[in-house]
Amino acid sequence: MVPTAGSILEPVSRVDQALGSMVVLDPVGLERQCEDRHEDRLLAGMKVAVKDIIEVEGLPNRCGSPLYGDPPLPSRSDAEVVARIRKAGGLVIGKTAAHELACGVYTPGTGNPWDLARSPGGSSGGSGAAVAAGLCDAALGSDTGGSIRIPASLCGIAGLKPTYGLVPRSGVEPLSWSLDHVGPLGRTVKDCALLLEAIAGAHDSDSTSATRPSGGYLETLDAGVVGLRIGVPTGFFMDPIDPQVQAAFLAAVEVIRELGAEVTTVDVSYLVGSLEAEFAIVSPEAASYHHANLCRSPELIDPSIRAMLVAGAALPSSYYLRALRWRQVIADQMRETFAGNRLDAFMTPTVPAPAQLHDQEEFAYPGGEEPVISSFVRTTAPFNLTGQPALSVPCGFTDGVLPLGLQVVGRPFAEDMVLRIGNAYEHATDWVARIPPTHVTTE
Amino acid sequence: MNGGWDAESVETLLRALGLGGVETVSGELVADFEGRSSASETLERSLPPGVAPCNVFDASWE
Repeated sequence: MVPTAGSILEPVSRVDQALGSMVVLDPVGLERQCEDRHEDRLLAGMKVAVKDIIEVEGLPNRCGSPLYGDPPLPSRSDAEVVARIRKAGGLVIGKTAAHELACGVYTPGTGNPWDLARSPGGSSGGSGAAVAAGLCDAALGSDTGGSIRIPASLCGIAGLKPTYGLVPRSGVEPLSWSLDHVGPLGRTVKDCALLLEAIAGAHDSDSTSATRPSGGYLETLDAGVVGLRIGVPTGFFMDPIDPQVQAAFLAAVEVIRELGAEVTTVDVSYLVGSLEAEFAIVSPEAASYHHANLCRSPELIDPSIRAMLVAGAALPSSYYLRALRWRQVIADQMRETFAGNRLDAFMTPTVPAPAQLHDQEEFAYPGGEEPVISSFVRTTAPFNLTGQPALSVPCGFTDGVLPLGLQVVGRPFAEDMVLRIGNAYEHATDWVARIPPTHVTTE
Repeated sequence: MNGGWDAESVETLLRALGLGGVETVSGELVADFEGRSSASETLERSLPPGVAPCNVFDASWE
């Protein structure tokens, strides 16, 4: 039976009443796409949701914030990535909840399908929750300091932050121009590869998009890991860490080794200032973009985000330049780590802890306490700073049945390699087969 | 400048930047400024001399 917008959206509406992952559905646009189906296209029939900072023609773009009007005006055109998904036959079902201004790791109002009392992460929390609950096959997210990989890890799905510049960002609300990335979240690594295949590639509308050739991400997906050299960090990513996350990560490393990869430990202690540099860059870039909003309607901005914007606007430019200089140092050292160890990729826990409760502000590790946002961004932001591709793939569960993620990081523009390693790991384990309690098939 | 922030200096700075009244100048905000200043100083101490800022729009290693 040929699906209609109604048959696709009915279970989405039903399940999402408890989940809160979607902010708006698009029955009109979806019906038009259902009537114009082409089964020979790359994404034919794939249901895709779009983070609510990315323009979809005819739908409001709220960015999780009241700054954009109540209700905001509908977008007049699709963002380039959305246009590419439609052209490839993907069915855009609607827009997913985002943490306010794409600046946070909670996504308030959205539950985690594994435990509704917990956060799906952020800022692309709605995208992570919607995919995990089976409301869609894949979703678009954005990632400035981990905002694709954090929800992917917390919700038990795959999520890829591509190399900086690989995916055009025109029609996507910025947070931090030099750190923002757009990328896919999917139930499987292959879903991410399919979506990336459709959205990657330069476009004139984004002056920062890289002009090199893209694509071919499906061709080597099943090539396995035999003979690959993969680095595993000592320190930094592992301290502090939840013991269950550490155990799951070390077990994942053994799986990769048993699949035929050569695993070697590497010292990345030079990443120790990543968090400071990340915040020192995001704050002034975001403050510059939101300056008019800050002056005109400060009361409409969450106090913690407003304080970050004020600091970014007011603190000396020397702080920003220090961070950019330090960013060059870690990029050089990361390149040397890959070259000196002849690495094909690098693996870490995606984040050091499972999903937090909605009102939880700190994690208590054996080594001490750490704020939730610092914990998550510590292990993901280094690759926003270096621009490298980084994939999160499910690698186990806690005793309390919360998902955990494995991060695979590659050389710039080596998305094919990180997807290949993630796919090999995914097929060697059965984590992806597990279904959360809140899911379209269990309702 | 490393730290040295107090409510008066923060308030004066915000007013000069046209941000007066945007944010209440509380002890928490001053502490946030102090924390960011301190973090920046930490980065400065780990920087080798002569390193130029990165080209933020080019992630390639070529």
